[in-house]
Amino acid sequence: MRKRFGRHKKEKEALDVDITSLLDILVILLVFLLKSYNASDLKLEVAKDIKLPPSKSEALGHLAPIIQVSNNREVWINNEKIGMLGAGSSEKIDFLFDRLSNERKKIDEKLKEMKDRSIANIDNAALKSKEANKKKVNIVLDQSLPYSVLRKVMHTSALAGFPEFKFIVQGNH
Amino acid sequence: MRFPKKKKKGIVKPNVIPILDAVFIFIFFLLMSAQFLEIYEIGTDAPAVKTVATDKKDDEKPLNLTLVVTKKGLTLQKGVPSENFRTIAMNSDGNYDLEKLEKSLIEIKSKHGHENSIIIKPQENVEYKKIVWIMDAVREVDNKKGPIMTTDNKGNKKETRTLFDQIIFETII
Repeated sequence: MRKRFGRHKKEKEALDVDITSLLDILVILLVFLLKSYNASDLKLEVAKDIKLPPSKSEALGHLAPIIQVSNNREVWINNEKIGMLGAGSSEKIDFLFDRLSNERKKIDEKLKEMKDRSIANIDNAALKSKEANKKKVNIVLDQSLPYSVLRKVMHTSALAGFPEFKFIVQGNH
Repeated sequence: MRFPKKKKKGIVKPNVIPILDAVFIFIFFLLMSAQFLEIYEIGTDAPAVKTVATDKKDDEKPLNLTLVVTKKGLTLQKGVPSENFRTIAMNSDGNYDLEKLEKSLIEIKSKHGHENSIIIKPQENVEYKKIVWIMDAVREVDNKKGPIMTTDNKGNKKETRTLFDQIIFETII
């Protein structure tokens, strides 16, 4: 009797999961991410109290030291808070100058290292791009700040060896 | 006569697992490089000093286009020594009249097609946001308008949308 029942048991089929809906979600996600893809090599974490000014510019940012000044005049360099601007401080911001001078040294040393070991073409391309960007500095300022603050930041940057200023703005197109 | 029973054809299911793997990897890559805030840059330089050979005298007078930005309005100056070319008062909303500024710049650009530089001289208390708007207006003709005709120093006519995209801030160093 047992044998007869056993003969009628169906063979187990492979579990067939319907992934159509999952694929739909993936395609939507893919389109959304492709739209927000940015080819710029600048990775920026805007400080909490900074509202970027809107602009028509479409030029992508470049990798370079980032100076941020918030609306309460806190100064950040490469996502690290380094001080606060006083109301009547002089044109040169000393603490910013010291940090930027250090950055200058680091960049120059890196470039020297790259020049020493650049044999392959790929190294040469990277070297050229580094050379082109070595005097650039990204300035991220809150939109409500007066020009006097911007002037102090630019003055200090230029003195520390970064005379090419890139103002980071928010696209409004 | 009995025909042999035809076997039912099974639905051919393509193996989508490798595609899914690729899509997942692509999504991770896009998530890493996505920037949800549209960030762009506006480039400016610190004023540079250039030595010009005294034996190569240029007959053409330098344009030396300067834009003075105050809380009351804008003043365009040109020539050496600087002479006022046009004064643009604030519009009825209390903002800078960028339309009029653009018209004046188009007028200058049409005669000096080879000139790309403008010196911006803002007053200390002018908001950074407004300086960015002004920089947008001086760099390019508005997107809604067509290109303009200019004449270069050799007398050749050409179409362009660029006005004065080399922005220099005065009194930085």
